[in-house]
Amino acid sequence: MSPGNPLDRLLSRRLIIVSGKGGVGKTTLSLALALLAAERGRKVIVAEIHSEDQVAHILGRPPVGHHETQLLPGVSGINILPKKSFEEYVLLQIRFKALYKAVFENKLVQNFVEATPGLSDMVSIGKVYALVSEYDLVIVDAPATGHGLALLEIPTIVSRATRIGPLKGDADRIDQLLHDADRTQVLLATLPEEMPVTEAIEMNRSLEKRLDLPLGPFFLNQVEEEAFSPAERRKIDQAPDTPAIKILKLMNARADLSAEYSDRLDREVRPRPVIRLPFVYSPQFGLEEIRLIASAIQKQMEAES
Amino acid sequence: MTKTIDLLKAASAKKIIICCGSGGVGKTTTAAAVALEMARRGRKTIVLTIDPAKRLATALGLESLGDAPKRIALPAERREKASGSLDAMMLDTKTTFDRLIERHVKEPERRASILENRLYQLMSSMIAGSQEYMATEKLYEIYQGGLYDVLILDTPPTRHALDFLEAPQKMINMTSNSLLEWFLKPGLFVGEAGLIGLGVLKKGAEKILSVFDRIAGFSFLRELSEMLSLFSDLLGGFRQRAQAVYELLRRDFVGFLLVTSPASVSVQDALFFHRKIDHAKLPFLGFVVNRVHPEGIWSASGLPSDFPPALRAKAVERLKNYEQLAKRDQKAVALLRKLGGKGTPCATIPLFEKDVHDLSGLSKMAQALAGET
Repeated sequence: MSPGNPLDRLLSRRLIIVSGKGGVGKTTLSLALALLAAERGRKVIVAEIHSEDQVAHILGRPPVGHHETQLLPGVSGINILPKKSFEEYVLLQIRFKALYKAVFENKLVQNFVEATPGLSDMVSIGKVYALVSEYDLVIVDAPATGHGLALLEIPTIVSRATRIGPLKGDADRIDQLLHDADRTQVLLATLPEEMPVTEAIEMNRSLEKRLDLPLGPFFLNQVEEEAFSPAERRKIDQAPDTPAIKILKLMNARADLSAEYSDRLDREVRPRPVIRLPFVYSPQFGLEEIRLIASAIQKQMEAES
Repeated sequence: MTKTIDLLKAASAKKIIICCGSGGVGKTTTAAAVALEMARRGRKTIVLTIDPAKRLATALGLESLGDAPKRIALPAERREKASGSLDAMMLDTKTTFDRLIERHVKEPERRASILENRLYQLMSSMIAGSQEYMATEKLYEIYQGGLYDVLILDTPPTRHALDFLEAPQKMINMTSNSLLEWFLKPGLFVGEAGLIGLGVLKKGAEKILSVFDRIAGFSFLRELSEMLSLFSDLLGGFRQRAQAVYELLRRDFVGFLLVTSPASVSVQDALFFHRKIDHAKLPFLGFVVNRVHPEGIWSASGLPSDFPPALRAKAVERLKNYEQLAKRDQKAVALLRKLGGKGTPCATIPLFEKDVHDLSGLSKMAQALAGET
């Protein structure tokens, strides 16, 4: 492995958190990075958190739920469920299943556990922490809610709210992992459009200022490439408005939009690199499309060094 | 193509419209566009939105957080009736929560200790749960106020369909009196074990407390019970309110509008939401499919004869790319139409050259919803 190559450097971390608002392609990016890491001989797991099992869905596999399941050579998946994580965590502390059952299968206690603010985020990130010791690399497809910020913030909050006890110790260890740039990278995914780009810029700011987390490059998904030269564009613009020409104009306008927001993101997050991933014109997203994205990532990040 | 029934017509019969769907499908803009159209048709309208992107917020006159409605000037050109108006309001969880406390807790000292409690701060500013609670809280308050003909709610970006509907109940469960007392005085509840439905004896109760203590540390527990005790002032109100919201959302003048994109992942989500709405017996209004690639009927003969071969080849390739997506979108719309059946409106909004983040964009969306494109 050449240590100077940004892709190898990224994939040599233990934990990658892919964050961003809903619908920006976090799952695709997580899977593409997992493929690249597996190619480099690393044992990877893609962890979704309380999701609809999108990773398995994309790969045409049945839902994996809260079970570490191998999905591809070297790539496993899990859909972390807060309730299960809580059970695992408590059992680790008290070690008696019967006691756990007596206490936590009680309706009142369950209600309480469900409603305690931050608890489900805390046990979910705790599960991620546990996975880090089992795998070479854990890639977290962070929830869209609050852009996944709550998840990254909660260990600090818990650590401050508790003064002693095992929970504090765990919160501190997780917090250290999240803030350690040698082990962790937080990646922001976005789309070349007004709202997603604005939100990514805002999130970048709050991650830098408020949370001080180790940020990696930006990933701009679904960039619609400019297909035509300026001269060709003029010819299309001057042509009579047939349905075919109308479609071409719409696509050209979308390509302009991609270029505009791509520039804006560049300007605003400089010097942080922006990796541009192409729009994949395919009716269904599957492994083949993920491979396309993975090779685009590889090409750009290796060229960067 | 068979014409399904008009979404906006169906929407006009409603007093409360709730836009739901997974993240990134355009819930906020759809809610705003529907609101714009309702106002244009002469209804006094308010749209409640959560965390809109900056430029949309600016377009709606919502630069600052806060929970006062702002009047939005309607574009003159497509206005039908002068009686209509459009207000917009941005929900801010922390502010709404703080005001709730200020309203219900009279003694200044007690109020201060709630606002300073770390768990309260965490709970009120964290997205999970409290935002959902506030959305329903605000919805009810405005509905009760009776100032509007129609109220449109843009729901929080939960991955889990209707979490926001369950949030009030969860919060009530947490702050329930019996649990609170149990935390404060575990000895007391033994006699009431039957009453609160907790089938364990005193020894069990102590065990539970010690488990919590071992995991979380006693300071955490103390802080928690302190917060719960402070919240006990609000309990009565919370519980009644949640019950009222539960009943309100099942009235026939309420409509749940499911917003989706035509991409397969979003459609899967939409199908899931639809089942949930059905299961919860909530009144369903219809689907809005956003960013649909307009039907791509084209032929290479539509390209001018003076296109050089290289340009022609590139153009045909682009058109084929487009066709793939147009076909995908048509399939998605057909699937949702079939699922909804004849009586369910399913409106489509085409993919525009630019994404929507201002009033003129919203106006275009509204026109598309009205079938005027």
